[in-house]
Amino acid sequence: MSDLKNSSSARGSAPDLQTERELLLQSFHQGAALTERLMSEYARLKERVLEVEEENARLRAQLLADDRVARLLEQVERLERDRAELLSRTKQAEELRGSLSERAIEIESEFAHFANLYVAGNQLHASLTLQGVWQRLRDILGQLIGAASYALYLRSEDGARLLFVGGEGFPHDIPRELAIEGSKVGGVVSAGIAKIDEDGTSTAAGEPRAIIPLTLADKAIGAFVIHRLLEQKLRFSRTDFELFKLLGQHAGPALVGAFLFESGGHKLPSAEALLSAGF
Amino acid sequence: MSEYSCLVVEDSPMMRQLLVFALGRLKNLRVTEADDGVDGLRKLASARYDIILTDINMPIMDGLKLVKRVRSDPTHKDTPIVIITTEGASEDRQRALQLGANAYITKPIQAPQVIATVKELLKLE
Repeated sequence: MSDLKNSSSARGSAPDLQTERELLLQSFHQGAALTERLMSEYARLKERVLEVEEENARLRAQLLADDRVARLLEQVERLERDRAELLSRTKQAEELRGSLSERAIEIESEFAHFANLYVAGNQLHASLTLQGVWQRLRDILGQLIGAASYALYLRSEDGARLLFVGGEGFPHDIPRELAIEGSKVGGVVSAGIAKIDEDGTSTAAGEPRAIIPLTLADKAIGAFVIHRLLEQKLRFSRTDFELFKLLGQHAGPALVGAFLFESGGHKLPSAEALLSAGF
Repeated sequence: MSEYSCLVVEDSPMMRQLLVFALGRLKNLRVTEADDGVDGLRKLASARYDIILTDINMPIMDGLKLVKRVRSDPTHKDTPIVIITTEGASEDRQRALQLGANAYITKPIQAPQVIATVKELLKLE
C-alpha cells in the first residue's frame, strides 16, 4: 500500500522518474557490462577449450609416440637377444668348422700314413727278383723315409760277421764287414731291437741315425743302417717307425723269396710241389 | 662337374703307386701312368692331359727332356707340369722351371703336398 502510495506520489513527481530512469539505465549498463564480461569470459574459455583440446591431442600423440618407442625398444631388445644368439651360434659353428678342419687335416695325414704303408708293403712283395726287391727297398728308404745315406748288411755263413751287400750315398770308407760281437750294428742284430735316434740329437756326429734289424722266422739275418737323412728331413715321423717295422719283418722274407725264385731258375712251384712239401 | 686328366711319369713302381694313391683323393681326376719320358710322350701323343707330374731322374728319357719336348709341342705348351725332385737337386729343379715346368714337389713325397699342388694348378676347390 505504501509502495502504491509512493508510486502515486512518484507519478506526480518528475525527479523520481528521473531517478528511476537513471537507476534503470544504470542497471542496463551494468547488465551490458556484465554481458560484455560474460562474452569476453566465454571467448576466453572457448579459447582455453581449444588450447586444452590441442594440448590433449598433443598429449595423445605423445602417448602414442611413447607407446611406439616402447614397442621399438622392446623390438630392439628382442633383436639384441637374437643377435647375441646368432653370434653364439656363429661362434659355435666356427669352433665346429675349426675342429672339422683339424680333423680333416688329421684324416689326410692318416690317409697319407696308411697309403705309404700300403704301397710299401704291396710293392715289397711285388717282385720276385733280387734286383727288383732291392730297388723297392731303396725306394722305401730313399723316397718314403727320406734316407740320403744307408747300407744293408747281412749275416755271413758262419754267423759271426755282417757283410755289406748294398747301399746308397754312404762314405767310401764304410766298413764292408762288421763283427757281430763288439760292433754297434752287430749288437742291434743280436738283440733284434732297432736303435733309432729320433731327431739326431742323442747320438754323436757320424753315428748312424737308425739301425733296423732284419728278421726271418724270429732270427735276425742282418740290418739296415741309415747314416744320414735328406736335408729337409729333420726327424723321423710316425710313418717312418711303421716303415721300419715293415722293413724289419718283410725285407728278409722278400729277399729270401727272390733268392729262392732266382736260384730255382725262375720256376714257380706247382700245386703238386706245394702238396708234396706238406701244404 | 668337369673331369680332369693327369699323366704321372715315374719309373719307380712304388712312387707311381703312391702318386696314384694320393691323386685318387681328388674327385673327377683320371690318372694315367707312364714308366719313363718316352712312354710319357707316347701317351701325350694320343690324348690330351690337364696336368703332368713327372720325376726328373728316369732311364731312357729323363724328366728335363720330357719338359722340353712337351713345351715345344703346341698341343701341350700350356699344360701345367709338376716335377718331382730331391731337395738336393736344386740345379735340376731350376733347369726344369726354366724349361717351363710350373711347380715342383720334393721327395720324400707327402700326399697332402701332391694334392695341394695339383688343386692349385687346376684351380680346383
